[in-house]
Amino acid sequence: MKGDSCSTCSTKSSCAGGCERSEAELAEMYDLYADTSEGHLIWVELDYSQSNPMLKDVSKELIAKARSFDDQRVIGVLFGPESARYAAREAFNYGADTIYHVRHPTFTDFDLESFTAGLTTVAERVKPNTMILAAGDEGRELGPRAAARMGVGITADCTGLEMEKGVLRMTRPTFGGKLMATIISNTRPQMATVRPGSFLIPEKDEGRQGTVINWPMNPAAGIEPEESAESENEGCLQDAELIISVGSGIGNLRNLELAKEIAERLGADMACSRSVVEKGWMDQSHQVGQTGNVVRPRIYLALGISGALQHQAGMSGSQKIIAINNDPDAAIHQIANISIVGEVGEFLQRLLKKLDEEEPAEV
Amino acid sequence: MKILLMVKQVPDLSASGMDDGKVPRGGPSVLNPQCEYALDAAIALKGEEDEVIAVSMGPPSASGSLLRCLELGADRAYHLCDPDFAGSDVWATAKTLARLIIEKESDFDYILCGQRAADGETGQVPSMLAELLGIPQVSGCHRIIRELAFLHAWRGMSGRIERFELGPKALIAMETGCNVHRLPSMEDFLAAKRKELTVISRKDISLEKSDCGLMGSHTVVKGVHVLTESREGIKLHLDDTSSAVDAVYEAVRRRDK
Repeated sequence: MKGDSCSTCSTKSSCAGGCERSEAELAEMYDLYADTSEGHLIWVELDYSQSNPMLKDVSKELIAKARSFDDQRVIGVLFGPESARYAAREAFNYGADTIYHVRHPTFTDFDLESFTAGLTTVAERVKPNTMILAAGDEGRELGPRAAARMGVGITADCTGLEMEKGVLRMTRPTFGGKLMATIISNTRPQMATVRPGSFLIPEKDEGRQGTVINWPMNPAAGIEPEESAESENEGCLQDAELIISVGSGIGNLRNLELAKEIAERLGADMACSRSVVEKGWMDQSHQVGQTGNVVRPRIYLALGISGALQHQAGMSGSQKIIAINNDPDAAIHQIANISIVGEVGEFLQRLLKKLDEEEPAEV
Repeated sequence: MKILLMVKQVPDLSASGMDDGKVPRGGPSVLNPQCEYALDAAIALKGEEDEVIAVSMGPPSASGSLLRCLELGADRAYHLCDPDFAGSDVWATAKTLARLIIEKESDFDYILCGQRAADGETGQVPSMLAELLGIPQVSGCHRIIRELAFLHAWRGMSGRIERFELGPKALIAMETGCNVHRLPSMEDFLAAKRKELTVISRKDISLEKSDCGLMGSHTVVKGVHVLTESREGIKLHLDDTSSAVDAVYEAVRRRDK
C-alpha cells in the first residue's frame, strides 16, 4: 500500500503504510458489498372497463410467480383513482404483501411519463431485488424507460423466470422463437418484462391479507394523444381461435375464394404469409409473421405455407398447427400436429364437400 | 429540420439456415425490416432544407445498411464501429447511441428508428434512448405526417389508434409502415458514394471502456438453446385416404377444446 492513498480507515494522515488491512479485506470482513436489495416489485395492471376495477390476469400471473420465487416480500405498484383500492385485496389473494397505490383520478389511462416517475420512485424507496412488468403494449414502453432512468439492465419478453439464490434467471425466445436465451442481470433491481400467458394463475387465497400504502401523485408532464379511437381491425387476429392462413402454395385466386368460403362457414379468421401480401391478394393487416401479426390461436390451418422462419415467428405459439403443403420437405411439416402432403386446391374442395355433407347449408 | 435515423443491420433470416442452432454471423445481412419503415418515413418527411442523418452501431459489415440509407436519400451517416462496442446489451447500446447524439448531433429535431430488430427482438433500445436523452417517445407507430415543424404520429395501443402531435426533440419508433422497399438506381448508388460516412470509435465520443460493449452491459447471456418442438405430429397423405380431410374437419369443428 506504500505511497498509495488508502481509504480503509480514518487515520489516513498518521498512516505511514504500516497498516496491514487492505480495503478488500475490510470489505469482506464487514460484507460491504453485500446486496441489500430485497423483495419483488410487480407493476400491477387493472382493467378499468368494469365499474369495479379488477386485476388483469397477467398481473395475477406475475404476483403468483414472484410469490413462488422465495419468501421475500412481493410488492405491487398500482396506478389509479381511489376506487382502485378494491383491486389491492385481489392482489393480496394472489400473493402480494404490500401494495403501493399511486393515486390520481387520471391514472385510469396509461401515462408513460407519470407511470415511469411513479414506478421508479417506489423502486427507489423499497430497493427491490427484482422488478417485473407484463410485456403488453404499455409494459414494453414503461419497462425500458424505467430501466434507463434507474440505470439498470432489462430483459424483454421473457417466457420463463427462475429464482436461484436471489439471482433471477430470465428465459426469452429470440430469432423468431427458434432459440431460447437465458439471461441474468448484473444490476439491481433485476428487471424483466414477461409475455402474458407465460405462467399459470393459481387459485385465489381469500384469507391472505396485506398492507396498502397510498401515494398520491400529480401527473408528470408528458405527451398525450391528440385523439384516440377504437381500432377497427387491430386485435382481431390476435384473439382469433381458428385461423385459416394461406401462403403462395394456394396457387390461384379460385382456391383463395374457396378458403374464404370455408373460413366463413367455420367462423374462422383469414390470415396469410408475406408472399400473398406481395402478390396483392390479401391486405397487409392479415399478414402473420415477423413483420406482421403474432397470433396464437387454438388451431392454425396453414394452406400452402412453406413455414419460413419469419412466418413461424408469428404463429409458432399456436396450440395446434395443421399444415397442407405439396412439398413433403416444407419446414411447416416439421412443426405441424397434423401435416398433410398434397395439393391445397384438392384439399379445399374435399373439405368443402365434407362440410356440405355434415352441415348442409340452409337454403 | 434535422432527423436522426437509427438503424440496425441484422442477419438475413431468409438467406441463412439456422440448422445447427447457431445464429449465423458474417453471413448475408440486411437492413432490419422495421428500420426500413423508419427509413421510408424519414425520406418521406424530408424537405429541401432538411437533413437526414443515418446512425448505426455494428461491425464493419454494418456499413452496408448505412449505404442503403444513403442511397435512398439520407444525407450523411455515422457508423459506430469499435471492437470495444461488441457484446453490448440494450443498456450499453442505448448509452452509446445517446453519447454519439449528445457529442455530435445534439441539435437534432426528431429521432426515427425501428421498433425492434429481427435478430434480438427486444424492442427496448428506442425507449431507453429516449429516456437517456430526456425526450418524449411514441413507440409502435405506423404512420407519420409532417405539419411545418411538427410531426403527427399514429400508433395502435391495446386495441386503440392514437394520434400524437409532436414538437421538435422527440423519438418515434416504427412498428410498421408502407414498406416500399425501393431499389436504388445507379444514380443513387453513385450519389451515396459521394456522401459522408463517418466511422466513430469509442474514443471519438469519449466513452469509457467500462461504459460500453460487454463491459458496460448490465445483462449477461448465460446460455442459448435451440427450441425443440415437442408437437406430436401425425403425417397424412391426401392421395391415400380421405381420413386426412376427416381429421382436419374434426379438429376445426371441435376447436380442439
